[in-house]
Amino acid sequence: MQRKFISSLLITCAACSLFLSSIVSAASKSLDFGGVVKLIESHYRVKSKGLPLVARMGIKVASPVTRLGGYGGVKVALFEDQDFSSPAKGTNISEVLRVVLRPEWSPLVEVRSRQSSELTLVYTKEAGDRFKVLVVTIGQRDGTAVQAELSKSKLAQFIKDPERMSRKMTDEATSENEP
Amino acid sequence: MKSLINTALKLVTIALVVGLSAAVIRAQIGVTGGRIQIDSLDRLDAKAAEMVNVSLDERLLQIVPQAFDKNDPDEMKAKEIIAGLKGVYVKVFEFDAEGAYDRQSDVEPIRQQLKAPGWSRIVEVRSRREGKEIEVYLLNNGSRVDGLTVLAFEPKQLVVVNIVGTIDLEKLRQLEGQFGVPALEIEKDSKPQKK
Repeated sequence: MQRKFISSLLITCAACSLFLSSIVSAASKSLDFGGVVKLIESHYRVKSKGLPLVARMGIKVASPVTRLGGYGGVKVALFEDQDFSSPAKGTNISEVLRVVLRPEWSPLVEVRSRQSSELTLVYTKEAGDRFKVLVVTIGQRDGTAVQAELSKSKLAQFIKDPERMSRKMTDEATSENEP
Repeated sequence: MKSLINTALKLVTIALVVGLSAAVIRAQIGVTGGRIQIDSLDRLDAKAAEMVNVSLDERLLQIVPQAFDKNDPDEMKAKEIIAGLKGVYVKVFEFDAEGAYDRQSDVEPIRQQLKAPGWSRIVEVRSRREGKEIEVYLLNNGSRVDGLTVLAFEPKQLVVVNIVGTIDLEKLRQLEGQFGVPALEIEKDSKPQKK
């Protein structure tokens, strides 16, 4: 009787630990680009225009890859003419992103100016021998989320002057000009 | 004989306590490695008019030298400094009005960390007229400096810089104005103040 109880207890424990480990491994995965875009949408109650404009995005995506050596795998989401003035109460987008992007992504730079109503958040992540950079820019009426893969030398330039480089990357990724 | 055993036992106990304390101190320095926790300041973000937050860990710092110009002597000096660094963490808050942050609740938890073994304050500048205060702390590990923290307060501004890793103070100036590190204005002849 006692042996039966112990074996069933062991089986229950093993099942629980398997269940817990699956939860932990799921929780240790960071949000992907689409998840980040959805999170921004729900946090500010705005809509991105990235997905319906696939064709237009194709042009935009191509520009930084061809014009700037060392960039690749660019993903862009645009939030055009949206109201970013009423974010979800009690939370801060930079704090929220930091949590959901953990542990794979690390925050590099966060710059916020109330005067210009601009927020720039830059995160980095290792991707083999390259690095992924995610730049989220929120303005008064417009916002962008750009993710790109950078070579180490390109990332080095990025780190040296992250504010200027994140602006440059965002501008080029959202540029209307074809390469 | 009994008293000799008692004395020996006391000595063993003292040696154990001293040894354990040293191990704890070494462990504390080893675990934190010059990094202090400044994330508690993030709550000031909501009050600040301007905020800059820079986090450069060792992995990213190792990549940075690739961007340096070999023909630029200043950049080559910066490369030398970075080689020994394990992290650069900067938080800058600018406020519209005075009194937006509280020295006791916001700054004191950071100061408390700098009272840990190994840390010593080398610079303390106070200007009552302008309300400016600058404090520079070093984490000494023998003759080596393993960490540096700068706290700079103004009525409408709060700056915290935490540099982790082996630091050459004479070369440190090369980092000023780069990677979000503001002008630290650390003089060469600054002497450690024992606490």
